[in-house]
Amino acid sequence: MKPAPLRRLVVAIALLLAPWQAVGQMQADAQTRDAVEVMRRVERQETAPDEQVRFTMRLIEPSGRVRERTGVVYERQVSPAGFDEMHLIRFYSPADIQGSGVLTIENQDRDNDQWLYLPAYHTTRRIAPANRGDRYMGTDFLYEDIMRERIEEYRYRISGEETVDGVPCLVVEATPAAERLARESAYSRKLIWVDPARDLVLKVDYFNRDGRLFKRLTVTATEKVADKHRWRAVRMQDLDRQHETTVEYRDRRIGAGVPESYFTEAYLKRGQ
Amino acid sequence: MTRDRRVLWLLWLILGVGVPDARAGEEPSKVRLGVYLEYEYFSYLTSLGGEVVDSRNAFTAIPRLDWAPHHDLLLHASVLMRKDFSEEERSRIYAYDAFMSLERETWSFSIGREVLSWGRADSLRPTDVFQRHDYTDLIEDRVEATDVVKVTFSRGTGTLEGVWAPVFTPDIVSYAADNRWTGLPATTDVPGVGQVSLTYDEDSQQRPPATLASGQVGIRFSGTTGGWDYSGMGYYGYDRVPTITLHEVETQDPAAQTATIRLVPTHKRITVFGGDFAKAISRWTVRGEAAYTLTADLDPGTTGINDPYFRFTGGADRTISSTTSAQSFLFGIQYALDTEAEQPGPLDTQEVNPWLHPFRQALVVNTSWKFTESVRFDFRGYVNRVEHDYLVRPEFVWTPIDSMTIVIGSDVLGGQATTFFGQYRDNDRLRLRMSYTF
Repeated sequence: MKPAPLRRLVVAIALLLAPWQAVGQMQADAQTRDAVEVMRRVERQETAPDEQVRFTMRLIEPSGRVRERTGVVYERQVSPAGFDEMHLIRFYSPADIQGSGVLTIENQDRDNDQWLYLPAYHTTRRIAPANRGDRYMGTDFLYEDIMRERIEEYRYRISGEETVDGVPCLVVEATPAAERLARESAYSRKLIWVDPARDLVLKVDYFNRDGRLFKRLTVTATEKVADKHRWRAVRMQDLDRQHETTVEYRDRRIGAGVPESYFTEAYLKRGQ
Repeated sequence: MTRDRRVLWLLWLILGVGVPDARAGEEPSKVRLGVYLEYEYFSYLTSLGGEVVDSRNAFTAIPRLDWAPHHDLLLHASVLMRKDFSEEERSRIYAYDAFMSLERETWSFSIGREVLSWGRADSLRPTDVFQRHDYTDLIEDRVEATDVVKVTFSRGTGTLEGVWAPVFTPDIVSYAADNRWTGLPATTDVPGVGQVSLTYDEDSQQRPPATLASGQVGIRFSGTTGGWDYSGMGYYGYDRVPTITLHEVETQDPAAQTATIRLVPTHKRITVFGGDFAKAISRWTVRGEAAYTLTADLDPGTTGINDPYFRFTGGADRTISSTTSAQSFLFGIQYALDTEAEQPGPLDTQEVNPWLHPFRQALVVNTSWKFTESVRFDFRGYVNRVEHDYLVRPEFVWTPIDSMTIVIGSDVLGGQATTFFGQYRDNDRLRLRMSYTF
């Protein structure tokens, strides 16, 4: 046990610091609330009843060799009030995968449903929802990069303000909070640069489970379609592998009416 | 208005769909041309690692045309052109598939020659009744299209599919003496003569007529509920695999020690009821299907393949991927059950059927190890748990550039000579396939 004078001194210091600690905690809470609000605004901005866009994806190897894929993405909300979405990705090229596609239906209460169609097999195939940390179709994106980020599963805080290509941004740090996410995610944390004027993400740094920066997403062009801000070109770099994936979007349509029937096995199998 | 457009409008009117509406975001009318090119080389060995006793090589080209004058309408045609430099019988030119397909939000209609695939199992699908096969190379097992009229109705995640195949078209099999996969003996022992080489002469009198009388119909309902994919189906038609009745020796040349035997292939009327399912459980996917087949027993005195039979295939698969590299590993295993499956008999049995019932109980293993984006190693194995015959197929797959694939692999078959794979145990081979699509 500590001597009485020293104990009194410690208590006195604690009493003196308590208000400052409380203020610090309040500031941190306010920062968290602000960060969550920023991410909720981003989510609302990103959400649309339906959306479709064509894309050109280039996989660039360290040697400079480029593999190109083109296709279309259809999206639609599972229910008008929610954020869960249905996605259909259809590839136009290269020729040997023309018509192939992946259909994903996000579910609030259970794992996502996912099917794959390869024309060579003439039939669809249910596939287990990939691990979040699995690479997405040979790109530098992981499945968790293309799945909707559930805000309630992360802890957010605003870590500063920086400009990205001259655009003032808030830097939001996202750390997995939900137990399952923390267990399965390939990331220990992400730094997200958000343009608060447009509620649009312009850059993301990804840190691996050892806390080391290993991937970087950079938005290289944006566009405004139907009052929504969207990426027009984006680059994802794998800093470890010196590999990168670029995606260019075109012919984007928001709220133009993507039929619900597009998000069925029957449509996936049409291959068109 | 051009003639093509007039034809299109006429089609729309006939089909009662009205004037096509231009849907936002869809590409305008387009024509796509493409070609699939393939070269294959097989070396047959005395044993694994032994000397080459025979070889076969073939070149295949499949030009195709897709014309989508409207988002809902597709006209498709492709022609298969194969030159087999070793087995002239396999050299063919024919319309591989050619159909018109009209797709609306809640229904679709197609007519023509197309590949129809039913079932959710990875292989050995009991409910896959309309898909034809080319068994001139048994292990390659290439699928063939069927002439059909197909209508589907969709509501939510459910789809009702009706298929009518107006005229029966069988699987493609070979009875040629130089084909290694006939399932028929190449020689036999004739009393007083000794060992004679056999050739076969097909008598097609019992083939189903090429008229509407040989039509087949099928119906299938499929859906998805709560993470389960499922379907139920019914089919009335024929076994596409012929049952071969061996008749007396037609001609015999004792001096040359050759004989010709008359074969009578028959396709039996069958009625099939079945269903399938698939479900993702954690990181695994379980899938399977079962079918019960009622047969028209052409000869009540015989047993085995003439009796009704039940088939089931079920298993699970999983893919494990790496976060930091392109590596992934797929593992799948299936169990296949076939009741009333008679193994093909020797020449002195009346009926043989080398392809209809390959298994009683089998395990099928499928693995794929992807090392990089362009290199992977696949391994597939089939083991009959009752007869202990087997087939294993290891292969390296290299994609040096997009749309080009080079496969180097081998097929190893084993078992007793009276078993399904065992009868082909002299057909161990190395193979090379190069393909390019553009």
